Amino acid sequence: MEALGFNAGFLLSQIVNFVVLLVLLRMFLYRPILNMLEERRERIRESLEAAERARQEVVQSQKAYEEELAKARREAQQIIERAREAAERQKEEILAEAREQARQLIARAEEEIAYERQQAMAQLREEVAQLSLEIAQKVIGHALSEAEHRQLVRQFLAEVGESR
Amino acid sequence: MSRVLNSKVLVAVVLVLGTIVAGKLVAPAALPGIQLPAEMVPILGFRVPNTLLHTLLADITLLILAFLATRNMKEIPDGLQNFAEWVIEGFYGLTEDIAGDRARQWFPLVMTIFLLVLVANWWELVPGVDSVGVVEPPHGETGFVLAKVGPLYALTAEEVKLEYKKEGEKAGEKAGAEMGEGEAKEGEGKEGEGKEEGFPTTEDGRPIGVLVPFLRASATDLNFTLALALISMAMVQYYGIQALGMGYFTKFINLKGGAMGFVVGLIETISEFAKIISFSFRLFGNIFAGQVLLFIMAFLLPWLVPVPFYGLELFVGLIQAFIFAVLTLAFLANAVVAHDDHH
Repeated sequence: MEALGFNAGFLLSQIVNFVVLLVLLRMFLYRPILNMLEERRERIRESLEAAERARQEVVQSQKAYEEELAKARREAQQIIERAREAAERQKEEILAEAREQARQLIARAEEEIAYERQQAMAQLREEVAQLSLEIAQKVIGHALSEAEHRQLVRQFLAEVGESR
Repeated sequence: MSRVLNSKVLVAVVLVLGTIVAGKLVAPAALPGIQLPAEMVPILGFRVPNTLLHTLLADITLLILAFLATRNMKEIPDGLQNFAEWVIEGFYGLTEDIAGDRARQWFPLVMTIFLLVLVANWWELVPGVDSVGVVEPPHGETGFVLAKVGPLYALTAEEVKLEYKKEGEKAGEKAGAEMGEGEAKEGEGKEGEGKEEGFPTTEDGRPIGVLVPFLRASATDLNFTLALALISMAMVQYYGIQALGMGYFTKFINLKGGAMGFVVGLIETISEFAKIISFSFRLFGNIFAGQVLLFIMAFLLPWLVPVPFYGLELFVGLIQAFIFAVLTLAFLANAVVAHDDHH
């Protein structure tokens, strides 16, 4: 062993050296770097998770947005439909009212016409009586008394009325 | 076209061969004395094994790198922090694959083995390690003729046997060596300062000495590899007992399995010790052989030729560090699993 260079003291010093080196490297190299690696792994994991969450959220909100949009579209459709119905109804009403008014106007006009005619007839009758009286005077040569006159006219009118 | 190419290739070959030959002629290197035990280098009046100094150098390198990497930790890493994270994360992943949820527990041991062995192995390849040190009078029977370069001494490739003066100068040489110890100072490039009086001389008066390098790869010292092997196997036993309690020992002293089981237990016991031996000698052998290979290459053909071998040693250094760490991990993983074959 001596020839191979074995020496208990040197052996021991190499052992001590190794142990001290191990402790120091553990303190100043392995621990900080392994901690840093662990920290970084943790952070990367967190970031990935956050990214995944954000992606989910985007998908969620996209879906919500689309749903919202569809609903709005549906509602708009309904509103338009309702408005169209209302307009239709209103149109019908207005038309009905207009027709009613027209009918009333026509009725009133007819009434007026009828009245006018009656008026005209009455006037005509009067004038005819007057005229016939004047003609009769001229024919007879003298004037009838008022009473006779009236009698005559009435008679005449009755005749005329009958003939009509 | 091919002619031009051929002539280019020819020129390149000539240049390379010329460099190699010129290196051999201009700057022949000394083949250092190869010895198994670590050289004792005088530092501040103490004699310290240069492999221990090398280990301390590796420690300091690692601690400085660790400090720089973690000094200013950022969420988005760059530079050294990024590199350190890459290494640690990679090795932690490997540990997790083998150790599962015990990874955090075993990781510091395994990682430290890997880093220390790797850095110590790679420091060997840095110029100056193995070649800068203190020049002392020869301890053995041969030495190198010294050349004075400024205030320093350089070893020349001229190796001298001291046998012819053995009888006369043995006593004086010893004394000289002792003197040299205290007074020797730092040097550079196979150079070192020495007291001329302490050195034996050649017949024409040139001093003769040997180099004691300040640094020598840690793993070329059996104490280093054995220390790691002992720690590794001790931790294997520790975690085995921690996981299985006294049941851990049934692996070694197997009374339930009859004679066969007992023999298997015996073999298990022996193999546990064999692991210590194989651990320490695998690393030691590989790195020591690499060192010798580099020495001999530098001695035979100092220029260009050693370069591929440096690449090879870079690889060997990495592989050995990896093997040591991963084997430790595998033994640990094996120790915490109950051996209940006979239930």
